[in-house]
Amino acid sequence: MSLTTPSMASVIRKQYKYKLRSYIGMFNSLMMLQVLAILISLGATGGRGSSNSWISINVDYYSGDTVIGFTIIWGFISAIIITTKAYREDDFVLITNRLSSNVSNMLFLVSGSVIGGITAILAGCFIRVIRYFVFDSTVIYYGNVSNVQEMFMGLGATIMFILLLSSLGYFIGTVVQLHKSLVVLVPVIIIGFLIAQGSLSNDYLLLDLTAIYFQETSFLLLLCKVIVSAGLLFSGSIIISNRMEVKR
Amino acid sequence: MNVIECHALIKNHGSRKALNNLSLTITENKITGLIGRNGAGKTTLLKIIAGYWRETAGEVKVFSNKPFNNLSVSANTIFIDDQMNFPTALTLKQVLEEAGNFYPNWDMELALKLFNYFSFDSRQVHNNLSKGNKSTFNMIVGISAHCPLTIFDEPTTGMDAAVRKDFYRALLKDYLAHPRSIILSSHYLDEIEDLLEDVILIENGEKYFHTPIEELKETAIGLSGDKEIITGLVADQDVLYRTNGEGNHSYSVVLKKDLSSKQIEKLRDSGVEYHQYHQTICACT
Repeated sequence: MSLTTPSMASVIRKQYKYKLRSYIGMFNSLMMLQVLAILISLGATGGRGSSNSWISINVDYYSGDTVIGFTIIWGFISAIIITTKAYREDDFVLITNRLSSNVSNMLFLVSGSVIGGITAILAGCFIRVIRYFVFDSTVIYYGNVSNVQEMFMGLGATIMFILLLSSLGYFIGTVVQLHKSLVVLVPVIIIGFLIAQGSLSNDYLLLDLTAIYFQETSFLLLLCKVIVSAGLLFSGSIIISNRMEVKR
Repeated sequence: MNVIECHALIKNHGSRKALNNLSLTITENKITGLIGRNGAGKTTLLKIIAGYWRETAGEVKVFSNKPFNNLSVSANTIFIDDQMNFPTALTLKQVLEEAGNFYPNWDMELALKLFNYFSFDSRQVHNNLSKGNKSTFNMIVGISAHCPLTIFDEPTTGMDAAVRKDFYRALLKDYLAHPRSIILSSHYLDEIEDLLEDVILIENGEKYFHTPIEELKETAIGLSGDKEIITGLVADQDVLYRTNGEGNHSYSVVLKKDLSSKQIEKLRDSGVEYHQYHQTICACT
């Protein structure tokens, strides 16, 4: 029987398609999370009011921020989940090696981030629509929904944040797979370090770190920062996982 | 062409040596049986060949490549055992389709024929199958993939006798139509002996023998009895395998053609038991 020599690109493409079909459960959980977040967001996320003897003004803010937050957490947890044994071994039933398995996982996470980002932004619009029609609120300001360019930038930023947390989750998941004890050690070290660091000095490392991304005002810079960070985290995961045996 | 070449292969599991200096060569288009007791190192050897595990020391080549983490070895090899996981989101039919997308030689017609023959329901999920049905389904994937190197590690776990028989028949039929290298590890040598061309016996991570099964059938005999008598008798013989029983009880396999009728007579007189190869091998596995 003649041997076949598959190209890396074709195997990655097949693995990626296979994952889109077989990891469908991830998108089910995304949907449930977002529905939950929408229900929560139907209450105002912030508001202020003032009144005098004749008139009372009450301004409430409604946004999709909760949905976006939930979606980012979903990205983080999904990324950890696909590094676990059960998911890794699904790959190796069929043709693959470490690299194609990792790259197809990353492509899957990028797709997940895009889908999560789009649905999260649309959920934000949906919340306002419900407020308007069901609760009869009077809209005085539309926020980022008011112009298309801002909306797309919001969408891009959301996708970037989900991707960033996904790559972080994938990295942590991969490190934890190296040894059983790391399942406990890694969270203990991270959280312990943050607590210790916070109590010893006045500036909070975690806040400073997140500010690099979350307080970036230029969209292009944010794009660069996230792509570089995610690229580093993904390459780190590939290097680490190359040390592991493939299966059981 | 040599499909598999192992040279002085060592694999440590912690401090235990799962494979100890094992060397073997398997040539193209043969069905080879791998037998040995539980924990002898069969699965370890097969997983190293399939590229799942990395060898501790020594050399292993599959299709002239190092198998570990190798894409072309993965593309030309399929490893079937009872612990295969398929995604829970896919139905059995979808799993077959996915496997068809991956393996270039995949025979969908055969897969569906076997699928229907063993009356699987296309909407079932692999996770919910019974143990025997899981093994049967894995076997269908293994046969239909038509991989140049097909490895079955204890493929019949949980299968009932009738299904086992059907499996061997399907395997042999497909092998004749599409010759390829197949390795079959099993505890039931008597069931697979008609299928096999070569037999490899390993124990304690070492290879004891690798011989054509015909030769084994025709020329091998087993001896059991007093250690000193047997050792004296087989001193100049080609001993394939030897175990030490309790006390003075020794057990060896020798090639019968080297024993003269006089020696056999002497054996009988001295109270040494004399077995056909069959019982002997069963005692080894």
